[in-house]
Amino acid sequence: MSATGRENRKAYEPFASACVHGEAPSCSVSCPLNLYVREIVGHVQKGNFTAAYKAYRVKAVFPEIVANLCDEPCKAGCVRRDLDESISLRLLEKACVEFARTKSIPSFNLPKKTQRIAVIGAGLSGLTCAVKLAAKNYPVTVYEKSGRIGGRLWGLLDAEIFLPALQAQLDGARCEVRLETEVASLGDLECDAVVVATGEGGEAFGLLEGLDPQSLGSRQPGVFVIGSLLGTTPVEDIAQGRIAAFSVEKYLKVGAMDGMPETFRRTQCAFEMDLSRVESKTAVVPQSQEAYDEKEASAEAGRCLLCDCTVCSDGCELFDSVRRMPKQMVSDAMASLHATKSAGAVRAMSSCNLCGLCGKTCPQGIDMGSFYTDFRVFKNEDGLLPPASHEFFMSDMQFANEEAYLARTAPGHDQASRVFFPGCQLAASDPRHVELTYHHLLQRIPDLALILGCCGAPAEWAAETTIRDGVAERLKAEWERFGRPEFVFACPTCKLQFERHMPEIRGISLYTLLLDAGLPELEASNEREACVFDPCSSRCDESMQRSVRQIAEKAGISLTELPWSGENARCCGWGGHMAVANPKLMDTIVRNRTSAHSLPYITYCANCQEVFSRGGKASRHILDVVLGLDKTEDRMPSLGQRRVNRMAAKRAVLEREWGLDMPDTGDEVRRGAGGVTIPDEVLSQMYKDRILEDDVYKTVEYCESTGNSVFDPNRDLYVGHLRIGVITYWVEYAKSDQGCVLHSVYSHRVEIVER
Amino acid sequence: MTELICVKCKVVLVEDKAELRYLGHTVSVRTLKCPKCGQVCFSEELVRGRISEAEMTLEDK
Repeated sequence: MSATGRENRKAYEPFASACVHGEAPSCSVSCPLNLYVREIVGHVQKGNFTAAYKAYRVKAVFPEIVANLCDEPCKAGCVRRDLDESISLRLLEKACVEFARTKSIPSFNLPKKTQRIAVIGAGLSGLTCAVKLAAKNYPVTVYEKSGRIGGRLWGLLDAEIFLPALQAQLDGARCEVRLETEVASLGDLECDAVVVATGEGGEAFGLLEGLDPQSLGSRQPGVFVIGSLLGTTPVEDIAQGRIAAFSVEKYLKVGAMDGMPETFRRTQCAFEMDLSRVESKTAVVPQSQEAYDEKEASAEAGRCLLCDCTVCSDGCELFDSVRRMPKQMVSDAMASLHATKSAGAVRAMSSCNLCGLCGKTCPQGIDMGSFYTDFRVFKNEDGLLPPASHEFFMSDMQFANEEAYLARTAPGHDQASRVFFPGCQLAASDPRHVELTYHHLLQRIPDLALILGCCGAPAEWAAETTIRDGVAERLKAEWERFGRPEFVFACPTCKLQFERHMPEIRGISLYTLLLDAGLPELEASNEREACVFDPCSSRCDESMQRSVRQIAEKAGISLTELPWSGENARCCGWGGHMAVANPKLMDTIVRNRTSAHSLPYITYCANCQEVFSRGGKASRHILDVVLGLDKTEDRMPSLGQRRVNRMAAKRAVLEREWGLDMPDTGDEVRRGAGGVTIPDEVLSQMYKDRILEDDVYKTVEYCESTGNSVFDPNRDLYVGHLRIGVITYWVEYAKSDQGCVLHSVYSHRVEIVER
Repeated sequence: MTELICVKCKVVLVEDKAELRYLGHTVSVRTLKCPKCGQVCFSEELVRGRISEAEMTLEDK
């Protein structure tokens, strides 16, 4: 790879660095300790108090003390405050302390450090800092002027509560407490770093001026100041003691006094929560008045929304399916570029529908669709894109742009003001859409040219940029040849593809044009009510979305909006070719889309319509409404039939508008040259598996002509296989006088090493 | 397993290993094979089950 190629890839490393998923929620930033509230409460929700206690102790350090001292500033930050009542976090913390099964402090067997640390003051802040550094195996000495540890805690809490809590952490720690030892001058101490925690009104050793309020480092290298000497509350003592421990360690390692920014106190929440669908629930009041029992604690925790930014995963099933959020998706993907292992990065990439909804809704504008579009190109460059993921779609595109391709100016014209570009899927799902629409438009726009072909979107999704550019070049050449006409798009994906890769070509949606140039006389539609399902590629095309609604309403259909439509339009499951890479995800998406409303759908992408109909959802293409086509009796076209349909559309327009004859080869595609019958239920499974009839015929023919097959006398079936391209097809078929009847077909991508 | 007969060699298939190659990896599965010509036979269950899982695993590696 070239140096620019490497640099180009490297530039993607921070792609999701602005993602705020996992950042502290508003309760946590209201807490001086920045407690891991989401984790703590999440465990309590599941009744796991031990795990909750451990998550609590990470930042509380002395849970028993905090649970008794805290005045709950988090309640002011809780998003439920204005809805019903804030979560009673302190009672939940108390429950953690009460119900944790074990409170053992883990030891990590860290290497012994030799740099010595002196802490002046055995109050809450000094001891916090001391035990944190001792836990990292630094030798720590705490100097305490008085004869006891605890400092101002003596005036705040019962000694029976705080002394055991402090002692539990000091026991076994590499920490020596010297009582009744006053430090008169820092110069007397033999150590590598000093933490001054002398308490309210205590000795400051002239260090307060120029103190860094975040790292708590003074101007004197190696000396830090914390605690009520700085006017803290007791809970803030613990927060500062913990931050200072990190700052001290950084100083000891690299000599810098500026601390570890990721440990500094946070006061701003980076995201906002949408509470519009949150139900009100009143707080759980403990029966004992003072403390929750386990059940009450879990019930109160159940009210917590575990606030986090999940805008992307709320709108798209990919994130849950691959159990990753953007930051991890990017870091996994980048790591896989340098390693031979993909660790699921390729699956995540191949499962993305590339629709860009996440980028549209993300407050930071992080568009994983655009990331994965480019990342697929990198993987393809490296030869690491599983070839079978896109094989079917690429061959389908090739068919649309070869056998089924047509580009002609209108009869009697050699130039055009406009050209109708229905897109390859429209004719595939129903050739009448193309034939009747072109005929209708030609009456109103006599110089309307026609191009039947594919826009190149499948090549884009398959990261075949050369093929994609080749398609664009050819279309641009046709456009020049026709006198630079305006393109009329029936498919929003084509329109988007042109906008991205052929921006010099002007385009308009068919539906806007139909409203403008005149609709055919609309028959009253079967359905009186429907939802318009906006295809994901129409998301930024408000005019197309509006035109479709206007047409539906003109046909007397009363429309209801889906919970997500217009600029939040979601993918039907077809996008990005996830069908092969992640069929389970596609099933989930189709189920979610089809169950979003009980009314039938009207859409204007042939793929959406087909996906929904196959998913059992009553749905029509808007052109069915325009042309008065009732499809309730029609079968969904098989994959082979879709190719036949493309040829049928081409034949129909050539015959009707140009008076040209073209042979009908449909029957051959339907039955195969050797006459193999495929029952409907097998065809339907073949559609799901993306297996073409033609590949079945080839395999049966191979088995029959070579005798390479196996006979199963129990089932009276022949079984054989053939490798075609990157796929091995297996057929099970019965033989009779009438020919072969397919019983089943299945395929795999692995290759059999034949002897 | 049911008895299957190789159409070419007219002999009963026997249990054996078949090697599969994919994305630079090689794995093997137990299946039925013609002892004479080496022709294998994969059942639908095997393909939709273990082989499909193996494909996914190798693609995720």
